[in-house]
Amino acid sequence: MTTLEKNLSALRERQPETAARVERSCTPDGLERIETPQGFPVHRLRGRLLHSQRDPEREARKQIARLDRPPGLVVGFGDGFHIEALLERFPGAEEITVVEPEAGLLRAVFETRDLSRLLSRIRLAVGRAPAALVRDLTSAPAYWYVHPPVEQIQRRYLEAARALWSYRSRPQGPVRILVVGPVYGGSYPVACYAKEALSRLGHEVAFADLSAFQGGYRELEAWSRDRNLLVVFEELLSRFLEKRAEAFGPDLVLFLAQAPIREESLKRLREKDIRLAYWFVEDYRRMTYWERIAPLTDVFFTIQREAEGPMRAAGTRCVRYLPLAALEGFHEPLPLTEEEQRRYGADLSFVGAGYPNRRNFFARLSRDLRIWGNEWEGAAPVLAEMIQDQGRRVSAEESVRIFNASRINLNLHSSICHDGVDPHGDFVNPRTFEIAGCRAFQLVDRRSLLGELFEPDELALFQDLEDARDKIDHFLSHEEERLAYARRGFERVRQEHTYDLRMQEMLGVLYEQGLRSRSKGKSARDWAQEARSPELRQYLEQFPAQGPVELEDIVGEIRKKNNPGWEDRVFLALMAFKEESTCRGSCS
Amino acid sequence: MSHVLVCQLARMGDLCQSLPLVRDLKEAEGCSVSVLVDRRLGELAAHLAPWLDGVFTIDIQAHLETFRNSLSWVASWERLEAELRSLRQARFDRVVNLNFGPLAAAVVKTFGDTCPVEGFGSLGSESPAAEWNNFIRLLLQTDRRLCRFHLVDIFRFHSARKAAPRWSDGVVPSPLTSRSTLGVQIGTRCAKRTWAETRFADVLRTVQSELGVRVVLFGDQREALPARRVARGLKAELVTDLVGKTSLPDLADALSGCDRILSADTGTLHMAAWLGVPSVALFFGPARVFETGPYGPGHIVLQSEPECAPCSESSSCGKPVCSEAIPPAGVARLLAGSQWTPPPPVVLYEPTQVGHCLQYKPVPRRKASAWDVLGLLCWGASGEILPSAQGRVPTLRHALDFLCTHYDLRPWADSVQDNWTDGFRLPGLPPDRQAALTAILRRGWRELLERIRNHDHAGEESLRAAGAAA
Repeated sequence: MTTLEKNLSALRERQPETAARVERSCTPDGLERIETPQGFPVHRLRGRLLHSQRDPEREARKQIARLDRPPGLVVGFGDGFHIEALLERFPGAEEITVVEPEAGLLRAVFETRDLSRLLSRIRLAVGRAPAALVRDLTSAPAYWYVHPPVEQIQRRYLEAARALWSYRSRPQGPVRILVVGPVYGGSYPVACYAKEALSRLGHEVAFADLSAFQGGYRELEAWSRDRNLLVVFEELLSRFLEKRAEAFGPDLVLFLAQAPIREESLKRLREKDIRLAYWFVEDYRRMTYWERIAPLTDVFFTIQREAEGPMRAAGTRCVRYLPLAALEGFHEPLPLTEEEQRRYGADLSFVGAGYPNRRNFFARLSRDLRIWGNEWEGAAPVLAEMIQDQGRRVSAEESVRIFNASRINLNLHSSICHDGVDPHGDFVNPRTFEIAGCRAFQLVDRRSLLGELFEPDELALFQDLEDARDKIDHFLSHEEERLAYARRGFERVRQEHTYDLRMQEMLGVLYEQGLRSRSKGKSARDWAQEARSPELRQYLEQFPAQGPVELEDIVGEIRKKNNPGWEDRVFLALMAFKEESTCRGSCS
Repeated sequence: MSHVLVCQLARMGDLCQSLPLVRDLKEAEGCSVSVLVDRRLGELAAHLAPWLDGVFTIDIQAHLETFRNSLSWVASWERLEAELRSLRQARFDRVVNLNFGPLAAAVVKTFGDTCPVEGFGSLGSESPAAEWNNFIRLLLQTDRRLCRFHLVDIFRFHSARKAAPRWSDGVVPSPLTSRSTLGVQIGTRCAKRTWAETRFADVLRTVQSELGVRVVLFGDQREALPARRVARGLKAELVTDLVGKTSLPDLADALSGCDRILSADTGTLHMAAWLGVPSVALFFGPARVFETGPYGPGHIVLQSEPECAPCSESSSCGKPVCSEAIPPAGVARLLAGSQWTPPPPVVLYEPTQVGHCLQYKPVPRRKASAWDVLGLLCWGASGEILPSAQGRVPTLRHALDFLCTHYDLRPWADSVQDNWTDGFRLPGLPPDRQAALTAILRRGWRELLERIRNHDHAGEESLRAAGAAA
C-alpha cells in the first residue's frame, strides 16, 4: 500500500466523502517539494514555504508552545507538522477541525508523509468554500489557529472565512442600513445589488436613490467645465443625504463609489454615532478622491489589494479588500425565446463602454464581434458595424440576456493608458462575475487578482491580441470545453462570489469594528409613547409592554380574530401599504 | 337618494377614465356620488367634475414613503385612521372599487361593514359586476389580444343606467391651421410607451413649418429635459413649454385651450379625452387601443401591431420595432387633416359607438385576424351569458354588425374549420358559463358565415348587373 493509499484509507474510515475529494484532486500549480536535512519532505506553494526547510518539527513545536489552550479550528494543513505538535501539546483536547482550502495540496502531502495516526484524531474540512465552511461549523470554536503561510498563500480564503464567521456570530439582530449610490454611473447598479442583498439578509435597509437627480446633474456637467457648479450641487445632495439619514436613523451608512458625500457631512454623521462604510469599486490610482473621504470612514472597502497600503497611510482606520460579485436571482442562466436569441445572440459579444484600449483592441481583432454599450461615439469606421443600436446604453437586464445568448463573451477590462490588455491590471470587473453567474462562457484578459477568485479551469484567459484571436478560434470550435468552463465558473460564483456573501462579509468586518444595532426593536410601550391618538395608545396596551413588537406581530394577532374591530382594520390597511411599498420599491 | 363612493386610488389617467362612470351614477341613476382618490389628485377630481358631492383622499405617497424609508408607522397609522374615519362617517350606501390589487381592497374593507362593496378585490360575489370583472380577467389572462372591452366601459358596467352619449360617430375635428394650438405630451411613465424625442421633434417641425401651428408642451418635472431638447429645434415664438410648470388643474385648463393633442397612452391623453379635446394618439408596446384608447369622439389612434405586440411593461425589449414603425411624416399628415394610411404593422383606428359601448374600428376596413373575430365575438357574447342588470351591455348582434362593417372576414372564414368555436376554452370559466359561451360563439359564427355568403352573393349580383349595363 502506498503512503497515499494508507492516508486515504485512514481518512475514508471517518470521512469517506472528504477522502474521495482528496483522491480526485490534482496537484496545484506552483507546488514544489524540498527535503529537509532530517529527511522530512516539506512543500513550497506559489513561492512560500509551508514549513521550515531546516527543522520543521522544531519550528512547529515552538509555534504551538505559545498557545495556552487548544484551538477549536486550525486553518491550513500544511505538511501537518503543526498539527502533530498541537496534538502532542494538548493530548486530551476535543476533536480539532482542520481546514485545508486546497484539496490538491493535501493530496500532495498525503503522497509524501504517513499521517494515518494523526488523521484518526482530527476532522478535516477540505476544499470547502468559505461560506460553506462557516455554515457547517456547528459551534463557535474557542479560537482559530491560522498556520502562518496561509496568511499569504490563501489570504482571500482566510479573510472571507473570518468575516463570514464574524457575521454569523454577530451579537444581535438586524441593523438599519442606509445605502447611498451615485447619481449615475457604473457603481449605481452595484448599489442596487448591495441594497437588494442586504434586504434579503433581513436587515432594515433604505436606499437613497439619487438617480432622480441625474437629469439636473448632467445638465450642470455640460455647463460647468471648471466643476464649480457641480461642487455646489454635490454639496446640496450631501446635505440631502444627511437629512435622509436623520429621518431614517441608521446604524450604518454604506456609500458606493461616486456617492456625492462631502467631508463635512461625513463628520456630522459620525458625530451622531452612525457607522460609515464606503465601497470604492473603482481604480484608486485613476480616481483619487478617496484621499479626502477614506480617513473619515470606519471601514473603507476596495477592490484592489494594492490600495490597502496607500489608504492606510492616508489615515484610514480600516481598509479591507472586497471584490465585486454577481447578484443571485438576477445574474443567472436564462431560457431565451427564439426572438431574444436572434436579437442578442452572437458567436462573439462584448458589453461595455468605449474606452480607448477597447477601441484599439477591437479594431485590430479581425473577428466578427457585436459590441453593446455606450460611449462609442467617434469610433473607427471598422467598429461602426460592430456597435449595436447606435451605441445606446444597455440595461442590466439586457446584459444578462446578451451574456446568455453569446457563445463567447469577450471581457476586456478598461484602460485609458494602454492599447489593449493592461499588463499590470489588478482588480476584477463586475462583468467577470456577472457573466460567470449566468453560466455563460467568457474570455477575459489576465488580471493579477483573478487567481485567488477563480481556479484556472473556471475562466478562460487571454493575455494579448494574438492570444485572444487564437482562443476565440479555439473555443468557437470546442463547445464542450466552453460549456465546461462556464459550468465551473458558475459554480464558483454561486459558492463564493454573490452579493449576499459580499454583504455578509462586509457586515462581518463592520461588526469586528464595533457596528451594533442601536434599536433592538421598539416595544409596545415605545410605540404607545410616540402615539398622539388615545385610541392607538389604548389599543397598544393589549401587547406586552416589554420586548420588541413589530407591525407584523400586531397584524398577525389581528388575523386570528373572527370579527376585527375598527383599529384592527386600520392596521390591516396600513399593512397593505407596507406590502405595496416593497412591491413598488424595488430599484432594479 | 343613494350615496355612492367610487374608489379610484390609481393614477391620473385612471381617474379620468373613471369619470364617465361617476357621471352615469350621478346623471342617469340620480345618485349622490363621491370619489376616493390619492391626495395628489383630490384637487383635480373636483376641478374636472365640479358636480361631485364629495372628494375624499388618502395620502398614498406619504404612507408608502413611511415604509420605504423605514420610518415609524405610528404617525402613518394616525393619519390613515383619520382619513378612513371621515369615509366611515360619510355613511355610503354603496362602494365601488375600481382598483385591481390588494391595497384598495384593504382600504375599502375598513368601512365595508357599513355598506356593500363591489368591484375589484371585493368579496361581493353577489354583485353582478363581479362576474363581469371575472370574465374580463379571464380573457386578459388567456391572451390580451382577446380583450375588446374598453376600460371605461368595464368601469361603467357598475352603473345600471348609462348617461346618454354626448357624442356621435362621424365627428371630424377641424384640421389644424395657423390659428390652432397643438398640445403635446412627450413623456410617459413607461419607457416602452414612450415615442422617441427625435420623432416628436420631426412631427412638430413639420406642422410648424407647413401649418404655422402653436405648440404647447405638457409634462411633469421629470420630462423637462426631453421637452427642452424637442423645443430647441422648433420656432421659439410658436412654442410654449409648460413642462413641470403646471398644477394638475392648470394642466386641465391649458388642455381645454388646445385644438388637438398629440400623445402616447398617458394621463394627459385621458384628461384631454374627458375634456372633449380630440387627439392623435400613438399606441405601441404594452398599450392597446381597445383597452385604453381615448374615450370619446374625434380621436385618431395609430396602433402599432408587430407580431410581438402587445408586450408587458416589465419585459425587456432591445429593439422597439413597434414605436419605430410609426412614421413622423404620417403623424404630421394626420394632424394636418390629410387622409393617410399607415404602413404595416401600424393600423389607424377611430372610435365608434356600438350600442352603449365604445369600440375602435380600423380605417380603412381591413382583413380580420383570428383575434379580431374571437375577441369581438366574446365581447358580444358576454352580454348574453353574464348578468345584464348592470346596464346596457354589448350583444352578439353588436359584435356581428361591427365585424361585418369594419373587417374583411372572407380570408379568415376560408382558413378555419366550421366547428372551430367548439374548441375554444377560457380556462377558469365555470362550466355552465363555458357551455353558454361555446353555444353563443357557435351561433355567432354561423350567422357570420351566412352574412359573408349573402354579401358574396349580393356582390356577384351587382357585378352581373354592372356587366349587363355595360
